[in-house]
Amino acid sequence: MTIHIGEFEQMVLLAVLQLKQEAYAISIRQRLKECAQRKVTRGALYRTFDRMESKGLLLWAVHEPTEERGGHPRRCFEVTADGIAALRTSRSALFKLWEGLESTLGEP
Amino acid sequence: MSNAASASHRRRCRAQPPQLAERLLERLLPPGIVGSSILGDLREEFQLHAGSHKAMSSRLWYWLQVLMVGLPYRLRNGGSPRSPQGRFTSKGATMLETLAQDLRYAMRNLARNPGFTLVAMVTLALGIGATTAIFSLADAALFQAPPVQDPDRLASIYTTCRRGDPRCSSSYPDYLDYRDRCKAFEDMAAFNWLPVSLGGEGSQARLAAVQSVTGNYFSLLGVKPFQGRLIQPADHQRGEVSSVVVLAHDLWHGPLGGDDSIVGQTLRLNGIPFTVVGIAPAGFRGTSLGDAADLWIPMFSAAQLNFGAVSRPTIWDERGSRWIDGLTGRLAEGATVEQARSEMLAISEQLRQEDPDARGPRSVTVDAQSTYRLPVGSRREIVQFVALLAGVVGFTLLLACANLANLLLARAAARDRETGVRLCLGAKRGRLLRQLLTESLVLSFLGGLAGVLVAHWMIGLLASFELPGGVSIESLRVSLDLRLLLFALAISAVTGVVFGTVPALQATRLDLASSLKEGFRTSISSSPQLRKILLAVQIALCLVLLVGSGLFPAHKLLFKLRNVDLHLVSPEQQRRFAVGARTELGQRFCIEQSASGNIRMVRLHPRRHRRSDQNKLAI
Repeated sequence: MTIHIGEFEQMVLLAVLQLKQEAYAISIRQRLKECAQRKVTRGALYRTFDRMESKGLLLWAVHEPTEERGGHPRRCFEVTADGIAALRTSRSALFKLWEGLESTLGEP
Repeated sequence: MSNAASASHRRRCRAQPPQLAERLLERLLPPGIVGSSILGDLREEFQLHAGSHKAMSSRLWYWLQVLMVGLPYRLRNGGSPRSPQGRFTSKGATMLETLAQDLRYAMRNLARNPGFTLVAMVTLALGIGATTAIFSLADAALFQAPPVQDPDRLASIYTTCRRGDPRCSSSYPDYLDYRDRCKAFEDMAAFNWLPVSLGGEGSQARLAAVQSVTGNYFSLLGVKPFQGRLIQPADHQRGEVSSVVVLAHDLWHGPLGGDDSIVGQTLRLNGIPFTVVGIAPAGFRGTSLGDAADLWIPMFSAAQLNFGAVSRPTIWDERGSRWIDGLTGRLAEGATVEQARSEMLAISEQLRQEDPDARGPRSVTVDAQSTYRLPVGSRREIVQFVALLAGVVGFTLLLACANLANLLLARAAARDRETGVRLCLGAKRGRLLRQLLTESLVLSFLGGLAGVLVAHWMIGLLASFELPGGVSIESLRVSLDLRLLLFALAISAVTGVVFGTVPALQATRLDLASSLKEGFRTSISSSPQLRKILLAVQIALCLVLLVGSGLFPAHKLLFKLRNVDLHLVSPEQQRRFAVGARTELGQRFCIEQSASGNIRMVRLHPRRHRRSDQNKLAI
């Protein structure tokens, strides 16, 4: 079954993939800010993580607690196979929609 | 602790988020790994934040995260029990989640229609603000007890004058006989009003209202000094002049600069030195409404001030010289005002019979002070005036409610399409009702907040006006009454709820199939009948208010501004008159030096001295 994802979910999945082992809330938020110029509120980001986890798009693993984090663990995210599939579907749909519009949209 | 250790301690403390906020966040977030990892993220970000910001700013930032991260988690999950796995187990939207959604939606809707929101808020703010301010004034003027001990046991005593007025002044022998013979009164004190020129050593003179009182005045009222002591029986001894003065807290705090060392210093009253022995408590300026004594002196000391008949030595023994403005009695334990009244009437009869020249009191009036706090001669006017004002603002609140109702109905009509679509999509009737109810309540709440500001501003504005009889509203110390504010808020909230949900109720009766076919061209909640009725109510209320305003003698009562220069004579004419008068007086009465100036008469006893707000030329 194909899972359809929204623009923000797509961005989160891509950021997680790019950050690899270092994909946790703070770095993901930072990457979204740098690459997409989107300032996401922390509350919205955590809500998105929960939603994507329940849809089976994301998984998380616990990293060891550190003193810097007050003894709290770090939750690092990974994209699931379903997440990759959803990204492919989304990209394919976008490519199809973009086809033939290069001149109209002024793209090379 | 060494400097290095201290710096290290400061750094460690700085890197710690506020404990209370962290604990609260811990309660709001889901337990287990999810909540703990979020706490860790925020701790890490807090340390980054603390490295580049001030400690206070970082702490505020952390508190903000409690609201923006923790609270949404709790609201979204409705505070439901959490599973051991650390995930919330609530199924679907709980009541709290729905409420949070409704609140967000309501705020968005109001922000999307700023015109409507502003008009509705201003309407409510004016209605609630005006009602609260005027009813607070009414409460202060009509129902507030004087700031004394057991005001229910206080009574005012008046002697009937020869013209037949039942509430006139008394003579000193009258006072002594009333006090000594009447058993219904535990004690009785006398007071008199005098205007004096107040000037400290080397300071500018100003007019002040002085109450000359008998030695038992303060002890009878149960008033405790703010500083020093008050007038005592030892200060009021016949044949001994005690030049002591007690200051009102307002006078000490304001014009005299709040100097803590003023007790023991000398003040000049009409040029005579008086020693300050104490300061009265804040808020106490006398027992009657609008009384505003600046100073208190012993009654026998008033003779020094050279003010009219009071300085005549024989006046203390003259039965027929009725110059004492007020008598206040404290009822004995178990005695009632009625008992005191009948006993006092009998005493006045005795006094009349005892006096061969028939100069005894014609009759005596005894009023309970808690119910007759209003100044003599202006009671009816003040009650009527305040009742009229309350009526006017009551109508204004009704008008505001009708206006809000009409606005909500008009808005509901404009939202027919939205309501219809939501119904078509399966929205339940209860859900729609709840949504509209939330919107109305949010609007009422915002209007109420604006109303508090309006009420606060209006109370400040009212302070510069006077009630009939020259009672300064400022002296009433009107404050925002929370009960009245809540009452006005409740009325507007009920209006919002009723008129916000009526369109929703109508909308749920819609035949969706036919409306869909017609593309929602017909109105489903315009409620034409209801809107017409509301419009008629608004017009009727407006008419009542307009006619009332026309008949309302506001120009005489409310807008009697102080210090109005009537320009009856030009400044040049005033100057020439003053110079001429000073020359004439100097020649006739061998006055070496004289001065002139514009002064405003202070309010004295309302019956004996009519207040004049016009500027008088004093010489």
